[in-house]
Amino acid sequence: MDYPVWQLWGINGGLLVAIISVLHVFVAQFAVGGGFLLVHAATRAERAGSAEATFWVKRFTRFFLLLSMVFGGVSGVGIWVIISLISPAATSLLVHRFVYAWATEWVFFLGEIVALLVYYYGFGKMRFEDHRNVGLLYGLFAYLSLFMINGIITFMLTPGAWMQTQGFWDGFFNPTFWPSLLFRSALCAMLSGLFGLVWASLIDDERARELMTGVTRLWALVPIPFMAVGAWWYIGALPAPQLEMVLRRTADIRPFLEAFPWVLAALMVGGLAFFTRLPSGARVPVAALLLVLGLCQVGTFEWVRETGRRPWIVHGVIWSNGITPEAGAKSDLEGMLKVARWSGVKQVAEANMHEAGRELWQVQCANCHGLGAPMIDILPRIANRPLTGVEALITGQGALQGYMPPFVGTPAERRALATYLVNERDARRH
Amino acid sequence: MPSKQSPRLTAFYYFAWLVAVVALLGIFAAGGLERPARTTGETPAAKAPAASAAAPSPYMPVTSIPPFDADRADYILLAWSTQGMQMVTDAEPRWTMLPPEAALRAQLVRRGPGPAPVTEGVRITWRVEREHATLEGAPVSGAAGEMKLEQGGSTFAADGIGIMPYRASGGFNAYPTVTVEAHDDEGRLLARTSAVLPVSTEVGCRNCHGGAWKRDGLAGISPATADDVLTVHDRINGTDLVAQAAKAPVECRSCHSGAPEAPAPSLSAALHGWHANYMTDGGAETCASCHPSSPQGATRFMRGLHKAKALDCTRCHGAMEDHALSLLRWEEKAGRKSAARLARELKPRAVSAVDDINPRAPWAMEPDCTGCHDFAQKPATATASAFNKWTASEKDRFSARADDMGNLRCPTCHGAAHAEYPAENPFGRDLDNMPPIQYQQHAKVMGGGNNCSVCHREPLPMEASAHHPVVIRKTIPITLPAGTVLTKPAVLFPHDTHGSMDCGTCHHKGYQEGKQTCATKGCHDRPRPDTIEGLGEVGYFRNAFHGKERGCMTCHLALREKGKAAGPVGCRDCHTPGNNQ
Repeated sequence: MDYPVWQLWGINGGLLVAIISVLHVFVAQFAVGGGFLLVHAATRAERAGSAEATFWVKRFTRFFLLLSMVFGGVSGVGIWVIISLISPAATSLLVHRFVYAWATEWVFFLGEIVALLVYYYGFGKMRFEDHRNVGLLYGLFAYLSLFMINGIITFMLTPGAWMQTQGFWDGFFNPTFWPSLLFRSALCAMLSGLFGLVWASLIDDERARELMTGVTRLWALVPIPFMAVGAWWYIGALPAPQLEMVLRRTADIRPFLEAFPWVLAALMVGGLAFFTRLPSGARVPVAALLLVLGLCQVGTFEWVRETGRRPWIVHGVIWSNGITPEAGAKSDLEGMLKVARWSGVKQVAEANMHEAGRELWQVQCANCHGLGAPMIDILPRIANRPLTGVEALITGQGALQGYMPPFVGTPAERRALATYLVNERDARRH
Repeated sequence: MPSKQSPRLTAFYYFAWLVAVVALLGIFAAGGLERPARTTGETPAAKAPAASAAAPSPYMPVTSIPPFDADRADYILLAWSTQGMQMVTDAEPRWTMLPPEAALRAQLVRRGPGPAPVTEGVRITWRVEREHATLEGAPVSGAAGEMKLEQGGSTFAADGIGIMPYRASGGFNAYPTVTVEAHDDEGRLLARTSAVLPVSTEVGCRNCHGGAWKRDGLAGISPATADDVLTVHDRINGTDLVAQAAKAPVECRSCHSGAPEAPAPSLSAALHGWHANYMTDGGAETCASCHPSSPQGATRFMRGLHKAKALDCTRCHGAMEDHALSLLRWEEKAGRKSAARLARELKPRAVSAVDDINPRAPWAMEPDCTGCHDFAQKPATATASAFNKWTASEKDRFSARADDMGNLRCPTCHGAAHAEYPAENPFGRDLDNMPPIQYQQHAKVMGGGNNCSVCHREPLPMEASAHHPVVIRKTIPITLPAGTVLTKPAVLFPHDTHGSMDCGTCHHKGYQEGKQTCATKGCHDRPRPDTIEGLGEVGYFRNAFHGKERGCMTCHLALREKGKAAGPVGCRDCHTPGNNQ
């Protein structure tokens, strides 16, 4: 409420954050596992004396260079830009609470880039052991980046003792830190293995192809049981409200959801176990399909995490629309328009219901909801509802279906928001 | 290295694997970790006509009150509906929640000194006014029938009458009349009376769920509204009611029966509990969003004495949150965890803590009349509240309770709940008052206003009532100017009940103890107007009470106009027969 709202049309801020984050996270996780995989593959190639395989590892390293350093670096900055525009209050909170964690992570990222550059350009120019050690450094730095980010992301879901102590380490090593680290570590290794599998299947030289396929297959296969353990541990570590949110939102697809990770894991293990028996021509599409299955694992995990966190950005501290419970309580008493510093309308009157409603929409809703636009478009959700019905939905939001933050503001503001939504909906009908 | 295994076996294995993967991804994409919001494609609510206060139902009932010969009649028959308004949800064929099940009660009293209810040698029948619709398939689907004597009592009952608020020829009428007759064994008519059997389908689901009214733009649950209710229920609770409704109407009570073994909270608890979260901070208008009590609606069922006292729903039932919490706490007591979830975010309004709200079983534990009426003094209209004072059981409810002698049921004399005598029905002032009008020509509680003789055939002092202690208002006689000729019974003025007013409101020229009355010389001292023009003069004694500028009626009518507690406004309310005795 202390920041201006970036008004967007045709797309909402939440979707922009989601698009950039998903791309970055996918690439970043892939890169984290990739560091060690590259070293492993290069070592196998060296021992086998396969120049083709070593050449492949170098090409694969270049791919990592472009993907993790260029795309990862740019999209990482992109996340900062977009979240500070869309959720400035939450970003501010995270920066203030974890500034040294972020700084540390950036140091690790710098180390990761330097090590990767040296590793790539050091192929054939360094002693094998030195080159390997540089590769291990790259993998280590990448993993430490994950370590730092994991602390902050898990803090947002389960602040734990931090709620009482406000202590940095209580927030960092919060209840889901370790299970999440285990799961994500395994996930990173698996993703890099799966990606490498696609890549290795394209090697022309049969010996090199079989060699590298073996390495990457191992990286895809071994982490799967660790992921299972991590997921089980993670769910067990969720505090009751977060777990309840996940369980409630999955009540109608419970059997599917419970079976899904296991079936998925079984299919992947099955596919990988027999991968090398396939003729080389059939391997690329199968490997691609395995990669899709791996991404489904990522999607499920991230969905559970996001769902469990609702309706908060930082659980118990700041709602997903960037409003704190304290600001909400003040808004209930004085009116949100008055409390929101940048609102152009300060009080609801009969003549400005629509304009006031628009301000309320921008501050409280537009973060997550589209208005006739992706994502979580509000229009189908209020289709055919009279004004009273829309107002009732606003009144009750967050009460029984806890995945929404409550509306904050006066009854007159509630009516203004409902009026705005009904007007906008009806205007689109004509 | 490539395996030596048979290529055919490998191909078979991978084909099976591929099918499983595609199937799983298909479920992943379609099964959707998020179930999308479903819409029903119903009629836009904005196009639905709404009932209006300015244009009430054009189908006002026409009634006639049976005659009564006070000198010769040996019996009086009194009839009432057990509910002041039976709310019916006509959402069929989609779902069935509150089917038409009107219940009629009657008592036959043999008049005379020592009157007594008659239970033997008589046959009591009922007949709904001609051309009124009843529902086929209801327990009692016809328009007439015989009442049965309730076990161990003196009340005759007809239950499950499938009456609808529609005329057979079309049109909405929430107040169909029913004629009740008592015959002896030889078929001789002993007594006949009329009453209303109130029923309404003005159930406001559409106010939030969209859709139009089903009938005449006034009432009824349209298919679009009914569909949306099921759609929302499915989405929230993971049910498949929309699919079920395509085959047969969904029976809401099949889950929400209120029985201990039922899987879901009782209908009342579930409905109020769920919706209370979406309708907070309101008053009686919140009740009217669903119930047919809106002052602008086609039914306007709040029409009894309590309404005249400006008491609304919340005084007895509590505000929406409190009402819901009382029902939910009962469910919690019964061990239903889902009730706790519904109650979790509700904040009590009338009390400070949820624990201070007494659990209440729907329909059995109703607001207890004795919560306000202690029979020692009149309740304070401004603060009286029966919320949180529930009857202990079903037999203690107003509709089932008997007087101190165990002879007469409360509604026998006081009329149905929400239509207590004198009621003021918006579609015919005395529609609900037919029995007292018939027997005592006064829309007042049976026997009230010195009318004990209706049953007792002799005047008796009210304060000696054996039915229950009667709180007699302290009154003072009004001094008349010399020469006044009374054309109506004299008025005994309840001075004390006006105690909260500023003395100068009435005593506008000042008041000196014992010296000044309305008829003091120079004030309203003329017993009659000298000319026709003099009818409006303030000096004319009558105008002290009925004049346009100041006086009882000016004030009482103005209060009524504002919807406030108005007190008496009818002639007999003040000019009560017997006052001269």
